[in-house]
Amino acid sequence: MTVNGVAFYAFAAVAGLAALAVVGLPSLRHAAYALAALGAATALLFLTLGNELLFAAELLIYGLAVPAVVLTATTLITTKKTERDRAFTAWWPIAVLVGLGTGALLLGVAAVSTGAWSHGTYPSDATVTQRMGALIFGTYALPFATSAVLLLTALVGAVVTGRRDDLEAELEAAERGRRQREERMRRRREDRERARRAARPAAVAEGEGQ
Amino acid sequence: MDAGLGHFVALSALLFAAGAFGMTARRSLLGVLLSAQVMLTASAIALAAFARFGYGGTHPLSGAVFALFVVAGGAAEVIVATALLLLVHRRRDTVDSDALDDLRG
Repeated sequence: MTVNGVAFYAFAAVAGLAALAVVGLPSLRHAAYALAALGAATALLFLTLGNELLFAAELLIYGLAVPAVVLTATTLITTKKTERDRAFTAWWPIAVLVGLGTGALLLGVAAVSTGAWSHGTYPSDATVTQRMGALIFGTYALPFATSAVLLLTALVGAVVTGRRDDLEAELEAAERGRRQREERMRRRREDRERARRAARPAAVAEGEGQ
Repeated sequence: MDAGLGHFVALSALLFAAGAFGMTARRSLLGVLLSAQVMLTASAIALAAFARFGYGGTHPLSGAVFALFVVAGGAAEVIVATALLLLVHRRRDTVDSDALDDLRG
């Protein structure tokens, strides 16, 4: 077995285990860590395919950025204990069938159609990134520009969606005001009680003590 | 033995199947989002593998370029979906797919 073959089996095993952990772990925080492992393993698989550009993109986006965003979300989204205890829906056996069916279908299609695609010549590894750059900014310039617009739109959309609207802000301000009023009243009551106790003659206090 | 196209396609199919299971079975919408990312990763592996083994006609590297677009699209999806989930959590205090059943007929 060559080094390439050993590397494939090692990274494929890590990717498979990480994928199972992502879909199976009850804790979303742990699932996000598993997604980072999956991203790193996939990036290394791209390296075994001789594509450094995809390796870098996958490692930066799926190995670091996406898990970081998901981990941030898990700290902001508090789940109830009942939700944590039951990670899967009631119809998970059907989901197992869906997973097995999808896998069998894809493997079947791949097995049947092997050799049916047109064959081209793959450039040497040294020129892959250069040729990909030429393709991205040549043949696929429009899809590349569209994906750039898509990312920008997603960023703006996330900011707009995440912003609190006016009604929400008013409700929160009202709730804050109510809490402050309650706190002020509680303090005033305590001060009055303290003043009343201090004003009482010592004899009365002693009598109460007996 | 070197890893061939069949090995990568099989791995991609298994990862896609795992993601499909997670998307159907997960209760938390954040878990569903993570499962969708597993499926996208699987498709990127298949695209890059087809490119590497020369199944791209006149442009063998087209598959690798598409894989790059898939990765970028996945990042955009995570950004928007996370913002939506935070909004849902703020308004409904849950991201449990069973609890969000307003559209149930």
